[in-house]
Amino acid sequence: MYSTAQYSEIEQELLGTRQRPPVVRQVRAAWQFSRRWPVLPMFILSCLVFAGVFADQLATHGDRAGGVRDRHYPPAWMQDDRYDNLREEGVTPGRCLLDALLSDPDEVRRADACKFHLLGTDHSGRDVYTRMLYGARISLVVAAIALLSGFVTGTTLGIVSGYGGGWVDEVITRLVDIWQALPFLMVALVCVLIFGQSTVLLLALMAALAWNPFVRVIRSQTLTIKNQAYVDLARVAGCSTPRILVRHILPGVINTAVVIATLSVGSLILAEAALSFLGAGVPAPEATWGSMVSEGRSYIATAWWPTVFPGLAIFMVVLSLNFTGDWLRDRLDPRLQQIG
Amino acid sequence: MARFLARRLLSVFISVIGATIFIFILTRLGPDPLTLYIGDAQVELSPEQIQLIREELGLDSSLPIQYLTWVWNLIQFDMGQSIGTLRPVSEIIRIHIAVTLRIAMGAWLFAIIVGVSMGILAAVKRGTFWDYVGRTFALMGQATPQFWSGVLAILLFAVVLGWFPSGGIGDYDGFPLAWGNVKYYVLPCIVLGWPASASIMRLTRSSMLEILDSEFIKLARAKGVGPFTILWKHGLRNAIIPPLTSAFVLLADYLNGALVVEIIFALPGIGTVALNQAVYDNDWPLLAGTVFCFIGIYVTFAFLADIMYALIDPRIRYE
Repeated sequence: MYSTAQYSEIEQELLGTRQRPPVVRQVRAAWQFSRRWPVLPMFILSCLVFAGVFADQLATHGDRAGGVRDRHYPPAWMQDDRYDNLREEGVTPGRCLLDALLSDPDEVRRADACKFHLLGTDHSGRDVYTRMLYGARISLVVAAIALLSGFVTGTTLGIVSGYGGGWVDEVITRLVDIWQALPFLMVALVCVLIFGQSTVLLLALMAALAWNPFVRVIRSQTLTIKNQAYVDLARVAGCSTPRILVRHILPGVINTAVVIATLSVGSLILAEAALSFLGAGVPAPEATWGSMVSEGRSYIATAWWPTVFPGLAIFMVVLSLNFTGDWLRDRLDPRLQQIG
Repeated sequence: MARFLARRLLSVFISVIGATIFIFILTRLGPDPLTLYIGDAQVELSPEQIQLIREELGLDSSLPIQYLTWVWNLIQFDMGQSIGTLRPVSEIIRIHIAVTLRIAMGAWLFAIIVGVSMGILAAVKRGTFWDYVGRTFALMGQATPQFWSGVLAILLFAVVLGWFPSGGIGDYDGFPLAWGNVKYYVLPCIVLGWPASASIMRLTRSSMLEILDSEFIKLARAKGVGPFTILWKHGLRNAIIPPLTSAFVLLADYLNGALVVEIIFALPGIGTVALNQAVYDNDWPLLAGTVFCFIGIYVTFAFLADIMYALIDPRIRYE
C-alpha cells in the first residue's frame, strides 16, 4: 500500500511540478539543451576552425622542424627517458606549452620553444601536435573551396536543368550519370600522374567531386517549383528568365542546397584525406591529416601516435559535421530525410 | 516494362561511352606511351625503328581512330597488351579481379547482415539503449576514414592480439572456405563493409519505423496476431525493400573503396594492380582496361538496382 506522500510525489511527477534540487534541475536543463542543439559537435567544429586559423600561434614547434634524432617521442604523458631528464630539470608540459603560446610565432619555428612533444613525434622527428594544427588548416581550406565551388556549380546546373528542360536537361543529367560511373580515386590518381602533384590539382579534383550531389536534388525541386502558379504569374508579368531563376526559383531551393552542403562536407573531408593518403593530395612537406596517417602506418607497431591522432581528428570532425548536417536537415527541410 | 528497360539500357550505354571517352583522353594526355615501351632499352633506336614500333602499337593513327579500335577490340573482349609486362590486359585483370570480388562480396554480406539486423533491433527497441548503440554505430561508421580504421584494425587484431594476419592473401592451397584462406579476408571485409553497414542500418531503421507505425500493423495487432509474426512477416518483409535495393548501388561503390583497402592490407587485387603497374608506369592499355572494368561493374550494378526498384515499385516505370 502506498503512503499519501508517495501518491503526491507521483502526481507531482506527472504534472511536472515536482521540485528537484537546483543542481539536478540545471543538469537536466543542460541535457535537454544539448539534445535540442548540437552543442558538442559545434564545439568540436569551432575547435577545428580555431586551430586552423591560429595554427601559427598555437604551434609548439616548427611544422617541418625535427631530425631523425628526435624520432618517435611518445606523447608527453607517456614514459620516456628523454622526458624524465626534462622533468628532473623542472620543465613540465604545461609550462612548456604556455611558453610556446606566449612567444613570437617566428621564434617558435626557428628554435623549439617547447621541449615536450604534446602528442609525440613521427618517424622523422616532427611534432605531431603542430603538424595536426597545420593539417586542420589545409582540411578547412580545401573543404571550403571545394564546397563553395560545388555549391555554386551544382545548384546552378540543377536549376538550369530543371527549369530549362529539353536537351539542356538531357545533357546535364547525362553528365551527372557519366561522372558517377567513373571511379573517382582512380581518375584522381591518373590526373596526378599526368599533371603532377599540386595543390591546384587537388582543389580542382575536390571541386569536381563536390558538385554532383547537388544537381539531382535541386533539379527535382526546381521541377516542382516551376509549375507553381507564382512562377507562371511572374512570367505573365513579363519577368525575364534570369530574373525568374534568381528571384523566384533560387529562394525555393536554397534551403535544400544548404542542407546538402552540410551533409556533404563530411564526405569531402574524407575524400581529401583519402587522396592525401594515396599520395595525391597537397605535396609533401606540407602536413595533411591523410598523409600523416599514411606516413605513420609503416611504424604502427612501434609508434601508434602519428597514425592514431590525425585519424582521430578526421573522425571527430566528420562525425560532428554529419551530426550538424542531420540536425540542420531536420530543422530546415524535413522532407529530405531520404538523402542521409 | 519493356520501354523502361530500353530507356535504361540506352542511358547505361551513353554513360559507358562517355566514361570511356573521358578515360581514353585522360590517359593520352600523359607522357608519350612510347617512352615507357622503349624505356630502359640499352641499344640506341633509330627514328625508323621507333616509327615501326609506333605503328605496331597502333599509335600512329589519329586519336579518334585509336579510340574506335580500342572499343572495337573491347567488344571482342580483347583489351590489348600491357605495355609494361607484355601480357594481355584481360589476363592480368582476370587473375586479379578474383581478390577484389572476394573482398567486395564479403564486405557486402557483412554490411547487409550487420546493417539489417542492427536496423531492426534499433527500430523495434526505439528510444532504448539498443537504439542508441545502433545509431552510434551508424554515425561512427559513416565518419571513420577507411584507411584509418584499416590501420587500427591491423594494429589491434594483427599486431597486438595476433588473431588475423596483417595482410596478403597467403598461399594456403586447399578448400576455398577453409580458415587458412578466410582469415586473410576477415579484416578487409569488415573495414570495407562498416561504412556501408552504417547506411544500411539507418535505412532499415527508418523504413522499419515507418512500417511499424502503419495501419495494417495496427490491424494485425488488433486481430491478435502474435508479436513475432507481426515483426517478421508483416514488418520486415515490407521494410527490407529500400535497404536491399540500395545495397546493390553500395556494392558498386565498394570498388572505389576497395582500392584503399587493398593497399592497406597488401592484397593483390585489381586496385593494387591499377595503382602499381598502370598508374605509376603510365601503362595506358592496362589503365584503360582496369578503369573500364570498374566502370562496367558500377554500371551493371546500378542498372540491376534500377530494375529491382522498378519490379518492386511499378510507379517508377512510368516516371
